[in-house]
Amino acid sequence: MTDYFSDVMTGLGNVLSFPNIFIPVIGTVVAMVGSFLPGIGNTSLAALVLIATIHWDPVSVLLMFGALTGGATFMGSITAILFNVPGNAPSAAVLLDGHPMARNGQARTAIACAATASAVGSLFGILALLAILPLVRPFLLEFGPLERVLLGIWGLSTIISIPNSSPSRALAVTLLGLICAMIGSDPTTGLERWTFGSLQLFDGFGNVAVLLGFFTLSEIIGWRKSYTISSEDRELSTGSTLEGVKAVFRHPGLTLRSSILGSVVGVIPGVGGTVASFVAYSQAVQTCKRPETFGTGDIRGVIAPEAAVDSKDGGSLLPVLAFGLPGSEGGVILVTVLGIHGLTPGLPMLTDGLSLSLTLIFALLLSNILTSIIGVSLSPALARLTRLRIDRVALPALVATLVTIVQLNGFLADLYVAVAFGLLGFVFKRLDWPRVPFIIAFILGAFIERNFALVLPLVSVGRINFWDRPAAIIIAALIILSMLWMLSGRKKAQLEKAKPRGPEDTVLAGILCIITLALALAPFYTRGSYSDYALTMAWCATALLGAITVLGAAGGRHPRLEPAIARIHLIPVVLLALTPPLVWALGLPVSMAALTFAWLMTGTEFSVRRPMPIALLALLVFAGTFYYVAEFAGLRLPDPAILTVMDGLPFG
Amino acid sequence: MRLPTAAEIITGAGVGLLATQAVAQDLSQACIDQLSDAPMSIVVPNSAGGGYDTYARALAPPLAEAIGTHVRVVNMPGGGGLIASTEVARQGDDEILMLLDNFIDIVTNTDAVSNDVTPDDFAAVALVVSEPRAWIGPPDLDLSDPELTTLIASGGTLQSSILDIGLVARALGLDVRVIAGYEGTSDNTAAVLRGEVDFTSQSMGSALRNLSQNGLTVAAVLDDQPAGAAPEAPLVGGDAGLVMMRAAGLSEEERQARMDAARAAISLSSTQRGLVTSAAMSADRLDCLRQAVWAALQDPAFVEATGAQGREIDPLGWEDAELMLSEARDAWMAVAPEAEALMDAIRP
Repeated sequence: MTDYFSDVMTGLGNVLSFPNIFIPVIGTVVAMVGSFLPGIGNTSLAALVLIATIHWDPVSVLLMFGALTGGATFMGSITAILFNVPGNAPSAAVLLDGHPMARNGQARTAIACAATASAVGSLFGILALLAILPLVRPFLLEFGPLERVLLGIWGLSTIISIPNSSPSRALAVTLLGLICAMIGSDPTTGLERWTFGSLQLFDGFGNVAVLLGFFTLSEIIGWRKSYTISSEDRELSTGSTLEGVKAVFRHPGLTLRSSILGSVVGVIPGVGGTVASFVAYSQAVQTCKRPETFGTGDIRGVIAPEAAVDSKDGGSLLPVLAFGLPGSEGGVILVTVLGIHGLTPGLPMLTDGLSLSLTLIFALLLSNILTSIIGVSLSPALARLTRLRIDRVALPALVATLVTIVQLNGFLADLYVAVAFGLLGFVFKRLDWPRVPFIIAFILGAFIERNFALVLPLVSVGRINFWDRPAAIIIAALIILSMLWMLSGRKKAQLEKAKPRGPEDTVLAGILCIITLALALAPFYTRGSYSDYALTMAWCATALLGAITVLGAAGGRHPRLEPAIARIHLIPVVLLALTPPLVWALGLPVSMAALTFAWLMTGTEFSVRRPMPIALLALLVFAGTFYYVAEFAGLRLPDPAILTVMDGLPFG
Repeated sequence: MRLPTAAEIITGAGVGLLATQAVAQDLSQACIDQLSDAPMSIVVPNSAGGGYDTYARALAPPLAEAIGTHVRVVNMPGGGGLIASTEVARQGDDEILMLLDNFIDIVTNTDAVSNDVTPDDFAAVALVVSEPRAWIGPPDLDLSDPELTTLIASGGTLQSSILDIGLVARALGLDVRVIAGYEGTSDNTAAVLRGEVDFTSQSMGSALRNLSQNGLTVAAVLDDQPAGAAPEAPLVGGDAGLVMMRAAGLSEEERQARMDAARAAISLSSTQRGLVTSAAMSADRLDCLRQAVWAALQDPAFVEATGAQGREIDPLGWEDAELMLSEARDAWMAVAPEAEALMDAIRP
């Protein structure tokens, strides 16, 4: 124990000594700036830093990479809260309540709360890590496919308590989310499933493309000035920083539960922050009183995912340090970093190299605390951004979102996916279909299926026995307890009764029913691998949506959308729908310029009488996008189709 | 002052020798013009951070220096590498794309999965390193034990496990069932550590790292030559290999069939990390590209960058690389008709 304490002090000394302290500070700032730029992923940034630090000494490198790991996590939440644009996939859970808070004039509170929850979660994660580090190897081996699938089911069980929705619609969208998560290749055979021959769908829908489409693009459609944000809204306060900080400590149970959850999820290789944040959000909905306020700007919906994501950072170091098993791309880089500098992950990092492991851990802690301090300090300034006129925020947000989507993998298909999910999200929102269970099912669906597909054969060959696995028993007990809690009379009474079904509701259910029916029948006319699990989901969704359609058609009346509102939304809907084919035909920079021009020409702020500033702005967007894509981001996009056509012409 | 170790002296001398060779192989101005005419990218079929990405990022700067223009590293994950290989095969004249991938994967993916691109659409540029795969498992896993007949393995997908598990199992006369769906090397290693499976197959580099980190053992090297870093590890092929041991007492016909399976498994399971480009590229440009890449592979900056990251390199020029690519095509074509049967054999 004395040795352990001595190593702890050495690790702390490495971080806090002069001039070492500057390294994590610089690393944190680099990671924060990098993660704020669209599409510059933390992994790419780390890969570049890896090359630049080859000749550094091990302590300095560990300080830098600890800071890079911690610095990038929080910043994604800022854009999620302010503009509904998640900087990374794990931040998407924060926007569910964070952005509604900003819309309700509480941006400052939300940012301060997220920063505080992040710091507390991180501190908890690191303390938990320090506590279990000497015993970590047997602990880690407790988490296999069975525990993972149960963890996923626990997250999914939240649909029971989805507020403001009928259970049948919540279940239907959950099934749809699971089906969307299964598009791609079968996890066991590797054969195509529901890709309809598209190579770019081979690995399924990209998480970020779906999240940005479903939440951000759908939101931007609703951001036409004359519809959503009125001038009165802009006069609202942006909330209180102190209130945000205090909120975390007013919910100690929630913060603690989410931090524990994040730490546990972190130590499981391959699970990651996105699952951690959504399971934590689900857990908050399940266990909190008055769940009906979630999704409308409930501060508990900010605390839970934020605490979980940051406490996960500490836990995620464990598999790397204890076994050399990276659970993420960031982990792969960390293993490489350790290897470069002669450090062997595994037992050596927990014995002779323990002080170096602790240096990495403390650098991560320092970085997380720094980002939180910066977040709290900047919250008043950042919150003022929400006072900008929404029509002026919408265009930059739209262009940044579209560039990010295309830049992720350089796939045009991602743009189609994002726009399709943007329109779907908008329709869900307008017709009051629940969006949260859909996205939770989508995020957890692939994770559940992959592990479920492992559990079945492992059970059949006798390599897994539920009763021999204490972690599985504990998670199963948690699932049962939380479901009983949600189904208890008190909770049930809080669920809003199903709203009357109307023509639009029925039409949407009918369309979704036809789509799932087509997918359920797809095995008969497309090649590929369709597990029983996948087909069961498709048939169940078809049956449920069919029932909603039939019952809806026979049901009551519902007021139609106001025609004026529909026309306002028609313009962004049409522009968005035209964007993917435009990018295909003209390339990204020209399309962004054209989109900017059309957006402003059809807006209420500018008019045709002022074409010059509009044209200049469009030109600026073109130049900026071109420079960013070609020079800065280094993205290689497919040639615009129009150039290919011109190649065949005499003057081409 | 610390004196250099013997290893450092040898490394330094090697780097110096390679530097001399690189200088001697400066590109002609015609080649520089030919290559700087179009933007050049090294396409990696994985996300940033992995082994292939490391090689590409280390190779790009010396290559850029050789041709005097920027060389991008483009990460193009997806489709098990097929998206990247399709992009490279279909490149236009206005750009130069090279794919850094495993030759075997390029061949099997384009032949087995894609209808649009075939292995013949690629021309080899150079090989960076070739290493065999190995089966790793707990220390008590002894594949020479004749009593051992049934094993459970972990793998990525059934399709990807055909060659390095299914074919080898056939050669060894083992009934191996693959639990497919584990993601990446880490997940597969964890499955062995948790006792869910008896072994998993990995590249030799990963296997050796596991030896030191987790107390696992290399149960078999899928090769017929001793591996430099693990000379004591049992080999699958060769006169004293596991196949010969386990086939003792069988009929000559059966022994021969197993040896054939072992040869195919060895040639199709090794990891041959190399660069290919489109076979449709003009002969002049392809020739210049091969010269430029060869010079970059020997550049001290590349040697140092990969060495510092613990990555082995053993570059081979385009003729050898083309031969390996061609052998991979032939070996796969011989096995491909049996792929379905092999997949069924390893299905749990």
